Amino acid sequence: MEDIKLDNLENKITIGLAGNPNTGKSTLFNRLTGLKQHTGNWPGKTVSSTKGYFAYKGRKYTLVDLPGTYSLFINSQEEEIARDFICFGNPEIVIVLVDATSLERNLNLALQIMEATDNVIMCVNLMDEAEKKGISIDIKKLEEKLNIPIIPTVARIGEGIESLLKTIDSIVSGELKIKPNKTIYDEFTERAIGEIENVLKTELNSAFNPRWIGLRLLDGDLNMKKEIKNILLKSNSGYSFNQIENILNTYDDLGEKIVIRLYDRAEAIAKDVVIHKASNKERLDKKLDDILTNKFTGYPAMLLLLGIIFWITIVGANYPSDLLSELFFRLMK
Amino acid sequence: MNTKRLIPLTHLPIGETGRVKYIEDSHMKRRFLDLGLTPNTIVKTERYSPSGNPIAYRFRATIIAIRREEAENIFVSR
Repeated sequence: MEDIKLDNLENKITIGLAGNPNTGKSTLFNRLTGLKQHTGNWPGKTVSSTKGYFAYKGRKYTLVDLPGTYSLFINSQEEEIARDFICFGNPEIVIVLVDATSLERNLNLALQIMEATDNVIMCVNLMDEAEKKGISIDIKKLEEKLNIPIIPTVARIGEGIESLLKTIDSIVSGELKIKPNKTIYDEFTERAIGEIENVLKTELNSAFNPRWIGLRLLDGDLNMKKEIKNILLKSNSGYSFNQIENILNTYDDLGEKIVIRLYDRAEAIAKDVVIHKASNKERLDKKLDDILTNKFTGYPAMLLLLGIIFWITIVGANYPSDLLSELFFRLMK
Repeated sequence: MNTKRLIPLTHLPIGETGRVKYIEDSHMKRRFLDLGLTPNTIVKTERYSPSGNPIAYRFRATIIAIRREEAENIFVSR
């Protein structure tokens, strides 16, 4: 966390890049920064966050590639890194990358990030793959529902990058003010959030978002509780912490309610903006899966593939190797 | 509350769908919720791996493989 703050001192604008695993975050990161960060097709590849730099219209930016997560509720180290950065790293803007082929599940993380910070840009990536699968997304409608800028992208070929940069610039220059449509919970949960918010508002400086911290505490996030306790004790507000503990005891374990509400909202939004057309692309994948994972054909297919690899290493490699030795032999002559 | 019998997800035959009704308390419960297996989510058994474990389930437009031991803790109505 320390070095991220240092970058802020150098007048660089910090942007966080978040998203579910396997949505193309590292590809977008490389597109923006020109860094050759290794991209791989397996989840959890970016376990710690990577930083890169870029400039646009005379401004310098630090881009932090966060580990891929499904949520900000802490289940794993990756989620903690992403959450801590968004909460305590004070990024100017957070870009949420979502997978156009499974918008509904990806929206869960996006909705959580919109709770933590206002300056959120959503990139709907893999638009080309979605199209192949017969899925199209009503970007305008999605924008209306969430009230944040939404940019369709194909990061692999750089589509949408220019309009992403323009959007970043208009937020930083103050031209564009974002006010996301936050998730509203049931009355009981909202009352609990309000009570914690009231305590925190007077105690914490404006860099913290009391509503979000309240939500995390109600969710039973113990690390967040420890963090807030430390902050409050440092400023001699032990009494406030006691108040918060009392509120948490009154409203027991709202965590599940919160997750369920977020998914319900994600489902309702997806229903409205995702359009499915008939397609046979998925059927080809399915046929291959049928053969490769079948009890009777799966193991023979695996043995066959291993056999081919053995043949290549033991016998097949002799052909290019013979050609090479012949070539060198001729050159020596 | 529900007249229909609940079955563990592992008993849902391939190609059939069920609605998540209950998840046994374990360290995985929260993880499942975060992945989108919230109450009333529609789940379809997609396929078995060659050894029968893990099992691939489709819900919320994605396929996720879940270990048999853990899928046994998820109860659905058909």
